[in-house]
Amino acid sequence: MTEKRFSFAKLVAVMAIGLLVGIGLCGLDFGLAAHGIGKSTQQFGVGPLDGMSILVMALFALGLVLSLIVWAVSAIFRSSQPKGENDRQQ
Amino acid sequence: MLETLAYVAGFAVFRWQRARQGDVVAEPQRWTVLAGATVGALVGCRLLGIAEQWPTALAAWRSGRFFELLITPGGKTIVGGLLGGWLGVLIAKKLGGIRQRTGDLLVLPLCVGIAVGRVGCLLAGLADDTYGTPTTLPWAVDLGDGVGRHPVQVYEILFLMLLGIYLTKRAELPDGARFRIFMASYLGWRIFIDFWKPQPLLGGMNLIQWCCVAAILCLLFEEIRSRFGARLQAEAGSTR
Repeated sequence: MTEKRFSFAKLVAVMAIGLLVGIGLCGLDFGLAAHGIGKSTQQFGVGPLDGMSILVMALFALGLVLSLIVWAVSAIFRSSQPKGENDRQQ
Repeated sequence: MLETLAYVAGFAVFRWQRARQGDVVAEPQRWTVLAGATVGALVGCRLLGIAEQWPTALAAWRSGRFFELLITPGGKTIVGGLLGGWLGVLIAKKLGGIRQRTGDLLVLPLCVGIAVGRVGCLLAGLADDTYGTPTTLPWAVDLGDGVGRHPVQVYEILFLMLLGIYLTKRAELPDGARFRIFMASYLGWRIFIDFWKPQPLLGGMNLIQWCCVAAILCLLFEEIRSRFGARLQAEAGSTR
């Protein structure tokens, strides 16, 4: 019976896309800024909506770094195991 | 919002195309490639996006506000994403021992994703820094400042539509060729169209254009190397 292995690659891809979306929340910022809500588009500075996008960015950035570290550690651990044992686990 | 929609649309097209025509690699390997692509794209688009606006970045650095600039939303560029993603895939393939050419399946999703993202650029107007230079042409768009400008985003959407259709119809292309043609065409297009964008210049071109030139030279070098290698192999085979 084959045991389905957890996909770190999938997790890393989701975290990276989440972070990209977090950085991309500027669209919402600028859209609202054009109507006088939030920050001015001419300067950088922290506006009310930036709090949300920075929170999303921080959470996904942390998740991305952690999942990359765990993925690398698990890959090193797997490669250090004897070949037969590695195959049996798969 | 349209940027998020661009990722969703790109991924939906990728899944549809993968189900329709199959994949050259198994699913775990495909996810390794996608992870390399997304992480590389994330780093590349942000770095080049900030570097592109180098006077602003320099001013932020001098005033001690560089970190604030780094975490401020916005400041990404498609070329940086493509080049970073390409490099990320090369690294992921090397680490994962994947030898197949995996980019062909990403061509149509990239065309669709970039085109949807460009609609967002057009709607964001002057705030997005991707607007065109002033023009008196009848199809000029006014982005709110009373100046008619080249709708460079619309030009790009049309270009991507044509490129996507052309590359989808060329079924006889060898593995990897579709992706290389896409990259060379899009980067060449950006060298051309960025002359119609008011960006800070370095030696007559903006930083994105210089990166496109460097990447096209890399593609050319890789093409010559692979053709030369194939010819050498064929000659060695015929003399045996």
